[in-house]
Parts: sequence; structure tokens; C-alpha cells
Amino acid sequence: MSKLVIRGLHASVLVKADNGDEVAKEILKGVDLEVESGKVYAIMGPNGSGKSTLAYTLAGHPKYVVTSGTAELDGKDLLQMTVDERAKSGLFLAMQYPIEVPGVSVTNFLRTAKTALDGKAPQVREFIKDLNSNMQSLKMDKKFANRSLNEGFSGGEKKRNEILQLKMLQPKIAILDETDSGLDVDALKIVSKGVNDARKTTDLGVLLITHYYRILDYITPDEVFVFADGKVVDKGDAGLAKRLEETGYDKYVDA
Amino acid sequence: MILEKALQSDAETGTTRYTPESAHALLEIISTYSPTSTPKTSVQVTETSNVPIRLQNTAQYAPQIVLNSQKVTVSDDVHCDIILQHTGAGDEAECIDFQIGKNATVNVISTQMKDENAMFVGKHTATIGENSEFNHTVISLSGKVLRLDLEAKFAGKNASIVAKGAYFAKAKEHLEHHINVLHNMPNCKSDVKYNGVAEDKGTHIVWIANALIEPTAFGTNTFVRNKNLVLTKGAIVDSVPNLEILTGDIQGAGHASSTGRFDDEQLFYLESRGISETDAKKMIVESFFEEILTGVADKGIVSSVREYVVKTFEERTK
Ligand SMILES: Nc1ncnc2c1ncn2[C@@H]1O[C@H](COP(=O)(O)OP(=O)(O)OP(=O)(O)O)[C@@H](O)[C@H]1O
Ligand SMILES: [Mg+2]
Repeated sequence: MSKLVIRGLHASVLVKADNGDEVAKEILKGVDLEVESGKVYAIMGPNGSGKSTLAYTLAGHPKYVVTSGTAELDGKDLLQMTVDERAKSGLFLAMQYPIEVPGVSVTNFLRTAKTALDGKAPQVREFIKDLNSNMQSLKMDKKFANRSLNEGFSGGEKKRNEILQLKMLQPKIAILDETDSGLDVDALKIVSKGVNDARKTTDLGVLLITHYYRILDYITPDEVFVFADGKVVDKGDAGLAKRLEETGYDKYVDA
Repeated sequence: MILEKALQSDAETGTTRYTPESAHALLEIISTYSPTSTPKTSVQVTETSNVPIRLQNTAQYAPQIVLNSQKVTVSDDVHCDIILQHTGAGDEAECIDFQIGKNATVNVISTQMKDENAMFVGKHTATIGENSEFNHTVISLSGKVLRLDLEAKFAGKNASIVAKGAYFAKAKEHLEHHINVLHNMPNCKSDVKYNGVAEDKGTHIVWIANALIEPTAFGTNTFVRNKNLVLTKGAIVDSVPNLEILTGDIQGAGHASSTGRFDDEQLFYLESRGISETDAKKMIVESFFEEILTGVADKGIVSSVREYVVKTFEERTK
């Protein structure tokens, strides 16, 4: 049983000003959230409201600076940890825009990550078996195993590859940043099944950032949060998500 | 033997042998000593074989100088692998001319792993026949001054060249690669891709590639790119990709060059999966070589390059 607790989180992004100096621009303005094992929390909110910033800040991206507030995973202070330490303590981020790394194969990447997380190299045969079966269930062609990480992958293939990593690395808490964007209907089902499988086998807790209700038909949320202007402004059940799709965010955004 | 004389006297006086200028001067001399007219040795490849041909040419001891001028003729329909490994403490000057027939596949790999005070200058020329594939891979890892030029042209249509290279420059080494592809025939392809890593103040990388597409070369497809990772301040990188297009009817043409430090987004991505910063950096350095090593069949070469790259990077992070 794991728990991610975020309290009063304020964070800024470093942006280049016109004169070339780096200046801090506040994006997160007091985020309060709890994410527990086995549960699914959906976050919806307008473009630019800071959803990805929240995800990156928790994962420790160097561009984002926490100015106040706390984030703890199972009582341990995430904000004091390096990026890899956060992953080692069980946090995973499926990115909105996965990065291409030419010359690093998917297999090599996963094996290195697994070795780092477990503190020892996985058994070769077990690892390959695991990789093959996970790729198969995500309907990824075997060839992807030897391809460079995300290089030349289509948008949907990149998203599948994120879920492949989720399944291979078995984190405690996963943040899925618009994993559903750009997926066709079949891929959406396959990816959702991947997430649900991970929930079943490892009791994964999920923070699911999305713009669309349709993924919530496959991954049922326990709670839905509305995010606007850098913080959580409302919460409810799946019904709230459905209503948002019709009404938009007008009532949460200052005119 | 003009070249031998030039080099010998050079060795005796011990003058400016180890400067890029002298490498350049040597190359000038080599050019006049063309293997097309006066090859020292001539190799005929008339049959496909899965045993690679080794054009061994190593000057193991200083102040030894080895000169190598060869003409390699590959017959129609032949598939062959050619390996050149340059090692040792002596200087080397090399000039190889590849004459490739029709429907042939020729894979050349040339590795430069000289001792730290040794110099290597080479010039490879190739004429590629109709429907043939020429794959030329260069791995330059160590030596005081390394320079290797590749000049390729076509003798018929539908032929292709893939010129790939990877280099690791450090400790004031001068590593220079020139690649010239002349698109003189229709529907030919060229793909030039070099990756490099540079560290230490005073280290100098020069990379110059030219693709010239002549008016007759309609349907040409060419891409020329170079990527450099600079590990420390003060390493100098000169990267110049050139494209000259003299026909309007081409399939594609592009060039790209980038030189910079580690990409923060790539490091973050790797680290976010639990990989430490040091290991993530090591993976990125290795990736520059892995991109080029894919397709190199010789397992021994691949593993020795990997080993060298990891060892060199680890020594520096110690
Ligand atoms: N690295 C950055 N440099 C400059 N501005 C940034 C950076 N990262 C975020 N921002 C700004 O912070 C704000 C929040 O961006 P963020 O990506 O978190 O929004 P989002 O809610 O994920 O939006 P979307 O729904 O479009 O993905 C935006 O105004 C964005 O321009
Ligand atoms: Mg976003």
C-alpha cells in the first residue's frame, strides 16, 4: 500500500526573458492531492493550466523549481530526491511527449532501467520473456525491441512504449500525462488494458491527466479533479468528467 | 616513390609531423601518388565470400612509417566485407581506390585506434557501379592526428553509398574527416552520417562533407548529417555540411549539423526511469557510437569499440 501526498505545492518554471536572463514564472499555485495504491484519479483542466508542470515537478525535471509545499511518497520527501531516486522510490511518469533517444535501443533502455531499479541485472531469459509478452499484449511488433527509443515512432507508438515501460518497471504510483491523446480507438483499448493489468498485478495507483472522457470508460476513475490556474479547483466522480466535456471550463476560469 | 621520400625525411628530421598542417600536406602528396595509376598492390575480388578481406596495414612501432597504396576491384554481383584496422605507434599514410562493378555490395570498415603520438592520414576513393551498394564505416578513436577522406562517385544508375562514421576526440587530438559524394548518375542515393564526442581543451574536430548533385543526376536522394557531443569546455568542433544541387529533379536532399552538450530532456527521460545521471550520460555517449555500429558485422570490432568508449568515458568521470 503506497501513498503520494502533495500539500500546498508551488512551483515555477525557468523561462528565458527577452534580455536572455532566466526568470522564474509561477505555474503551480498550491496543489493539494493524494494518490493511493489501487486507485485511479483523473485530472482534467484547460490547456496551460499546469497539469504537465505538476507531473514534471513531481518527477524532478530540472526546469521546474519548487518554491513551497511538500510532496511525499510513503512518508519520504520526494522533493529532496534526484530524478532517478524518485523512480527508485516507485514513481513513474508516462510523458505527454516522450523523448527520442537515437542509438539507445528499447531493450537496452529497459534492461538498464530495470537493473537500476532492482539493484541487480535481471535474469536474461526471464527479462526477454517478460518483454515479449508485454509487447504482445500491447500489440507492439517485436521489431520495436531493437529500435532506437522513440526514434521515428508514431505518436500512438510512443504512447504504447510508455505503457510498455510502465508494465516492465512496475512502479507504485504512475502519472499518465495525456497518454490517451493521439490514440485511435483500438489503441486506446489496448493501452487502457495495459494500465488495468498493471493495476491488477501490482496494485498500481494512477494519476491520469486527460482532456477526454472516453478513456474513463475503460479506466474507471475513483475521483475526478478539475485543475485550473495551477491548482485543484473542484472534484467529483466520473459524472463530473462527463459534464466537463459538455460545458467546458468556463466556470473555473476567470474572465 | 615521392611519398616514401617525403615521409622518411620527415621522420628523420622529426619536424612538424604531428600537426594538422602536416597531415594535410601529406594528403596532398598522397593525392598525387594516385593508386589508380600506380598502386603498390592490387586486390581483385571476384567471388562472394562471407570471410572478410583484411587489408592489414599497421605501423606498430615508432618511428616506423607505413605507406599503403592499393587498388581494390570488386567484380559484378559480388558481396564482400573489407576490414582495415589501423593501430600501433608508427605513422601511416594510406590511399585506397575501390572500383566496384554492377549489382555488388561492398562493406568497408576502417578503424583508427593509433597510439597517442601516432599519426594517420588516409584517402579512400570509390567508383560505384550500377545497382551497387557501397557501405563505408569509419571509427576514429585515438591518435595524435587522424585524417581520413572519402571521395565517392557513381559509374551507373540506381547505386547507393552509405558513409557512416563515429569518433571520440580527446587530449588535444586532431580528428578530421572529409566526405565528398559526387552525384553524377541518375537515381542514386547517398546517406552520410557521422557522430562524434569531444572532450578536453585543445581537442579539435573537423568534419566537412560535400554532396554535389550534377545536372545529369536526376532522381537523386541525399542526406548529410553530423552530430557532436561536447563533454568539456574548450574542445573545438568545426562541422560543415555542404549541399550543391544543380538539377531541379531530385527526390530528396537534406543536411544537418548539431554540436552541443548533453540534451537535458534526454537525460531527464532516462533518469526518470531510475537510471542514475552518470549512467544516463554514459548511455548517451554510447548511443553516438551505437547508431554507427548497427550494421557492422564484425563482432570483434564492435566489442572493442564499445569497450574503448566506455573505458574512456569512465576514466573521465572518475
Ligand atoms: N519549460 C517551459 N518554458 C516556458 N514555459 C513553460 C514551460 N513549461 C511550462 N510552461 C508554461 O506553463 C504553463 C503550464 O504548462 P503545462 O504544460 O503544465 O500545461 P498543461 O496543463 O499540461 O497544458 P496542456 O493541456 O496543453 O498539456 C503554460 O503557460 C506553459 O507555457
Ligand atoms: Mg500538458
